[in-house]
Amino acid sequence: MTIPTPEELQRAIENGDAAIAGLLQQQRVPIVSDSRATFLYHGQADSVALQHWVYGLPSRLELQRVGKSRWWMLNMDLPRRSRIEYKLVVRRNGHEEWLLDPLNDRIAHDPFGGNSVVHMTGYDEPEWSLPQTGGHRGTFETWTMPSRSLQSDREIRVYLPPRYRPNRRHRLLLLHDGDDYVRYSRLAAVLDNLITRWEVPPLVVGLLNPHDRLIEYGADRRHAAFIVEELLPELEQRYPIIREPSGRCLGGASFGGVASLATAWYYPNTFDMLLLQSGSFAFTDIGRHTRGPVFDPVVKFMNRFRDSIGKPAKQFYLSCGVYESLIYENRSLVPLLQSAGFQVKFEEARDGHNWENWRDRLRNGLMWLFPVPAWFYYE
Amino acid sequence: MASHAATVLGPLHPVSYNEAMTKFCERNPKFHQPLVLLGQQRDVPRLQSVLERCNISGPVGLVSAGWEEDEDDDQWVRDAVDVPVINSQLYGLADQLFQQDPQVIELLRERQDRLRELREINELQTEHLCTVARELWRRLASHAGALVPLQQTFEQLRTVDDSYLEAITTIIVEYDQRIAPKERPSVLEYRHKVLERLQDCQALLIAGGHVGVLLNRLNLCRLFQHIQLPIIAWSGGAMALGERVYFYDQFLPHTKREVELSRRGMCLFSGAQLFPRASQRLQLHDSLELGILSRRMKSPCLLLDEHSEMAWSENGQLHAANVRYINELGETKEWTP
Repeated sequence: MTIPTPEELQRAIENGDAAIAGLLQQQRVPIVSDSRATFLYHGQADSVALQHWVYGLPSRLELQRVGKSRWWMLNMDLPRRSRIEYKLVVRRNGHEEWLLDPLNDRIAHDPFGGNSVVHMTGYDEPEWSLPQTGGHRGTFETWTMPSRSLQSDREIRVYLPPRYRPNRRHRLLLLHDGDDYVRYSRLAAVLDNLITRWEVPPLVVGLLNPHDRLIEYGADRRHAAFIVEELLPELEQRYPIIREPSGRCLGGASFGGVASLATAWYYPNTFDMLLLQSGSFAFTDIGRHTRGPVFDPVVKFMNRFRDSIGKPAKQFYLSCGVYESLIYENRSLVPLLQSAGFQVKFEEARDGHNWENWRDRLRNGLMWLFPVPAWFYYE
Repeated sequence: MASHAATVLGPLHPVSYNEAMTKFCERNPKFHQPLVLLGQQRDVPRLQSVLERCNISGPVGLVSAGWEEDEDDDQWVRDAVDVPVINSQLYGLADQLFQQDPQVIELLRERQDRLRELREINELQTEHLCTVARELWRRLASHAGALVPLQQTFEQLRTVDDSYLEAITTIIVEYDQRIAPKERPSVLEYRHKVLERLQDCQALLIAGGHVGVLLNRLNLCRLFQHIQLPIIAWSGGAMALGERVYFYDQFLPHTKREVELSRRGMCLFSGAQLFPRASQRLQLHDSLELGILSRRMKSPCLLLDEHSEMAWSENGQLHAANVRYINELGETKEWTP
């Protein structure tokens, strides 16, 4: 299949609807060729812009109208292996509307709805994240427990893996925003696949869901107390899990990363492993931060943590998208942790602050934190 | 660049590819029963259609020792076939044997330690030679002088593999003599229990899993010396039945590991090297990596995936479907016997 150049697209548009429809018939839009992408929009508008979340570029890039047609086009450089989420901002009669790209059926869902997605050359959706027909599947159990620390009832969902054995001790992964991981990062399919292939051991996974996320996950001691003093004993009573730090991993993304690090720091020698994805690890070396009041407790905690690292865990897996504003904070954490003698694995991706970026890093993270001799297994 | 090297290097093996494969088809199986080798089965099992083609309508035995503690987790196999499945308990019964006769497991652990030392040394050698081969392969595009050193490097790699296999085999034979499975009552009892379970079976299914564990149990039990049944093996199970077992995963994160020779297989067939789960574990679009792999091997490389099947009938005729091989240019091609 030949990929049309912007000039060919322009000519086809000028030659009428049939010509451009014919040209686009077998193309995926946006049209990607090596490290360039062409975004298209068709419709009545006063102006059209590309709204994206790539830190470092102007957040809106205008599409240009092609002649006097109803077609709008933007051709831009995007590095190979990138995965970019975006919306189209269409302005008509003084109103603006944020749209999913009508020509693109690739959509990434998130708690705010969803975004259109462009995959640049070299990016492939990982096959291990796709639900398989047949094969082994884990199961979910849901129950509620009262929390003294949080002064409310908490619903906990637990993933029991394929090859779960009541008479065997399993390792535990506790994930912040657990239901979002299931919904938007295909956590169940990822775990089913990795466990079935013996790439990670059969993990019991506790899925945590906040009531007031930005408060509870903002390095809040009550949340940490809930996890360590209330939830862990409850999980140990209900499930055959290893009752040692070496069998426990705490993880999360964004503010969930902060909640994980803070909990492990408040309660040292509880978790040997941390999975920290795009952690909102904002800090200041001098002066005030500019990320808004919701970050106040986070910055306070991170500054204290950077000052006195303690022993929150032994192994840290960190990942971050290079198109995130948090890349600086995440990169900064790596030498700090390494200099304190911890084992650190840090991975970057050409992606943003989103659930599919976090999904795509799960295999590497889990395989590093929970090594099994996958080399020997051919199932 | 890689294709240039492959072209200059010429044929893969001392005899032509076609000759090698013809021999492979003709002289197999060494085992005089139908033998069927399949790609992975768990997601889309085709075991029932294979049983039907082999005219097997009675109970079948299952060796799932490669699943270790999950040996009994065989419901998906039972669901996939219309005949009764009897699990051989090759793994679980060996555990009982180890409890009853701890000296056996002590000796096996001691053997494992010696094999590990040997493996570490072999890793050093192999890693070094593969690095050299890659570099020479790249240089061959602009420097014809790299050809002879590259050929020598492949020769060295094959020699290292041969010597390593010999050293491993020596250790295994030494411990075999110390364990004396033919006379040791606990092992004889183990074998008896396994064979008793399989006595009414019309065929044997061999699953994959941990190939090292599977080979250990098959060897300890001397299973193939005592039963003559049609065999249907898949993935790691199929791998274990060849002459040599190599471990590989070119996509494994965090570690860069060269393809590793593990040990001698059960030698139920010979003349080709099987690579199950090829699409998931080998860089099939990288002609340099495939070129190095295939030139290191002494036999043609056959790639198995989900729908792959190779079947020798009782009279030794081979039928194959959805099996690929690596050609001289480091490309994968459909293989027809």
